[in-house]
Order: sequence, then C-alpha cells, then structure tokens
Amino acid sequence: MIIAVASPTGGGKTYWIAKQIAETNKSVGYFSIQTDSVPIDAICLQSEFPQVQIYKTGEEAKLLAASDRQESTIYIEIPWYIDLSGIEPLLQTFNCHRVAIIPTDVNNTELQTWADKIIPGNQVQQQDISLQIHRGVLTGEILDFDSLAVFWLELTQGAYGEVVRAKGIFDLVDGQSFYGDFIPNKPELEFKPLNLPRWLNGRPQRFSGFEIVGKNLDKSEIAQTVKDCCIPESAIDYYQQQLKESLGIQPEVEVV
Amino acid sequence: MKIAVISCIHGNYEALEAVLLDINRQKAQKIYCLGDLVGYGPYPNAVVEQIRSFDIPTVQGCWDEDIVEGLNACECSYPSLLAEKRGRVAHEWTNKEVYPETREYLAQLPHTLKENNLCFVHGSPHSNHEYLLPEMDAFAALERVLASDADVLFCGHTHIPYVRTLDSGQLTVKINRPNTKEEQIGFTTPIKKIINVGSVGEPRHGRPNATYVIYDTDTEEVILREVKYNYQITCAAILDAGLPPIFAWRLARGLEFAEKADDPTHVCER
Repeated sequence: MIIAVASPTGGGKTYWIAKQIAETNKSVGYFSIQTDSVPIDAICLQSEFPQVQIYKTGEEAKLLAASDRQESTIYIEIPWYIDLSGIEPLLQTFNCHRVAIIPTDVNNTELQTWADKIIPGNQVQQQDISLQIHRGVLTGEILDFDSLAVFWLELTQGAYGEVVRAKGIFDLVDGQSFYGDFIPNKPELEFKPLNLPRWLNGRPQRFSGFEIVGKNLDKSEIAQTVKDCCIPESAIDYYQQQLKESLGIQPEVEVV
Repeated sequence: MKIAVISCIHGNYEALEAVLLDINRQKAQKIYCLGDLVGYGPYPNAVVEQIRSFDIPTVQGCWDEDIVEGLNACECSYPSLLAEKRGRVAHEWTNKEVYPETREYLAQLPHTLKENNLCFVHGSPHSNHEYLLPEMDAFAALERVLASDADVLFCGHTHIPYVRTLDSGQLTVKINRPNTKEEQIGFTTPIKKIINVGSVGEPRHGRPNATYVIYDTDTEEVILREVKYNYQITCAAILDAGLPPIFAWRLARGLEFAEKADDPTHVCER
C-alpha cells in the first residue's frame, strides 16, 4: 500500500508518518519528493526507525515493486511547494491512498479536494505564494552549540526575515548530530540529538543542513551567521581528541 | 545623600541622555559610573565627552580596557564562537572610531573607586572582566565584598540589575604553622551588599529600557530605575555606522549584543 501525504508547510506530515510507523509491525518505506539534496525528514525518520527503507528520486520502480509485496506500507511525503497537478501522473501510477493534514480552521483548499482522508494538523500559516525557501547544505561543518542556539533564537524571532518554518540537522563539537525544528506557536524542544553514532574523526561525512521557509529572508546574512557558528579547521582535531579522552575512546596516535 | 550609579553605556548616547535626565528628576546629588563607556554602540566619543563634561567619577570597564590595551580577555568574555566573532567586529569598529583623547581618558580610569563604606567596580574587585552573578556561591560573593573593604559593593558588567544582601556569617580560619600549635580564629562578618546597577546602553532584561540605581547613603534604600528612551534612534545609528544590523535587532529586544555571563563559578584568569 502506498500512502501519499500532503500538508501546508509545518502542518505535521513527517510527525504523522512517524506516528503511523510507531504503531505498525509491517515493513515501511519512505519517499520524500524533491528533497534528495536536503533529506532532513528522511534522516530524522531513519534515526528514530532504523528499519524504514528510504527511497530516493530514480527509485520509483523499486518503490512500486516493494509496495506490491503484502504487509508493506510506503509513505510518500509531498512538500508544500510541490504542484499537486504536476505530480498527479506519478501518484496515479502508484495508485496511492491520499492523506491531507490540514489545520481545522482551513476550508476549501486544493488539498481538501485532493485528499481521500483529512487529518487535523498544526495551526500554521495559510499557504502563501510569497513564501521563500532557503536551503543550506553544511555537510562536513561542525558547529558550536551555544552559537547555534543564539542563531536559532534570532532566526525564529525574525532577525533575518519572517520565518514560518525552520528545520535542520547540525553536526556539533561533541560528535553528535542534532535536529532543530521550529513551527510558530508550537511549544516543544527546539533541538534533539539524533540516534546516530558520534563522529569524532575529522569532518563528518554525512548530511547536515537546513531548510527555512519564510518571507523577506536575508539569505546572505543567514549564511554568514551560520558560517560564524562553525568550528575552525584548526580546532576540530583538538576538540575531538579531548572528547575521545573524556569518553574513554583511545585517542589516535601518530606514528612518526 | 542620594547618589546615582550608572554602568555599561556602550556608546549608546540616546540612552545616556535619557538616564541623566531621569537622575536630575530624582534629585541625586552625585553620579558614579562603573565603566564600559564604549563598545557595540555607535557613539563612543560622544558618550565619553558627556561623562567628562559632567565630571562623573568613573571606573574602567572591560571594554574600555580592551580599547586601551587590545583584546586579551580570557574565555569568560564570550560564551560562544558567534559572540566572540561579533565582539571582535565591535571592538575593531570602536578601535578605529575613538579619538586619541577618548582613548587617553579611558586609559587613566581607575579599576576601583572608594567612597566611605561604598566601593565601585565594573566587574569585581579582582577583575573588570569577572561576572558577579546573583547565583554566585555566597562565600565567593562575600570574599569579593570583603576584598573591596566596603559594606556595599556596586558593580555592573552582567547588564542585569540585582541587589544581593549577604547576611552576617560566622567564619572560622584554622592556621597551621611549622612547630607551632594549630591556631583557630573565628570572626563574624557584618552584613554586606552587592548592588548590580544593570546597563544604560545595552540592557539584557528583555526590554530595551535603560537601567541604573539610586542609592540613599543615609537610609540604605536602593531603587532600581528603568528608563524608556528612543532606542530606535540608536538602532538607526548602528545601521548608519556600518555596525552589524543584528546589534540593532538585539538592542530593540533588550537582548545582549554578544556577551553573556552564563557560568557563575568561572573565575576570570585575565
């Protein structure tokens, strides 16, 4: 069975999918359309549910074949900026069940007509054509957590433009990978560590990056501030050796 | 006698003017200033000129010292990489902007001032970079006041005003000398006070308003004053001066520009 899930930005798609995965014993697959370069939701889901099979663009045939197997559910997450009519042929190929996650006070949207089932979601800003997306890939960069916390507070309180949604995965000095999440009016932890191994050998060779949705975003200032949060090359090895010692991991010895 | 104690103006001339006006209305007879006249804000020279024109007794703050001696603070000055980078930008801008006479004035400022049983410092009697936070260990806090040889220690630096009363305590000191019997000396400390006067030009209490303190030396009454001023003029001047726009954004929200003391146990190693 294939279930396509759509919502406005910050509506709660990934949250709803995670809830379904937690409640099932079936094998589960996940495909997020047009997010291969910034696979934040896929990484978060796989960190929480390592058994989930992640599909990327180009693996649609494999996804279809997997869905034919019994006792298997595959979720296709459709980002808010995707034109629903544009992906209709793909969804028809998959013969999807369609779920829309929509705030309770929203009526007469394209999503309501599109969906087979409607789930009440987060109270979020109405879809607006003036919304911009700013994405940044930080793979290999290590951030100072205190700096990141300052940046995140400024970002979400409007210092770099009006933000309606922000999420990101960041590699930190202690080797952990952290997930940051912001939806206005939704009180919850801003950062949580992902269930991934600590990276303490040089620059992390795994995805890190962010996606910000909003209006009048000052992209260059955002980029500069994130850059200012990064640990300089010269300090990375020092911090990692210190951490290895404090964690009881044998520090690397250079043989001369 | 009613005195006014101000601190941490940080080149914010608009805020200083509003506070001086308020002090006049409160009929304070004398004003003391706990330093940090410059740094982050757009008017370092005008602020120094105003302090000098009123002949206000002033101690040297950490920013004043850095402008004179260059940046050499220990890690306590900045809680994050981002804060450090912003602090350096502000330092470099201020360093280029200050007139020679401003620098000379900052250089000759003392680290402490004493007036009867009152002592005035920027950070602590030991260092103008040390934060006396309200949650600091009581023994360490008492040691700082005893080191000042005063009953009331006025400080700034944290930008959040508070009054802390250190009740009288019984201290016992054991002295061991070679070839002599252990000696034990006990004494009772009198009640001491730490008064942090907040910040005129860079508040950190969540509102843009300037803060300072009025103290009555006869009644020992402390009044924390919060003064509204047109902070948008300062914000516009920050942008006009080419300082980072984030400084204006943070000032308008009563957030610190960059520095923030978050470790009450840290002892400055400068």
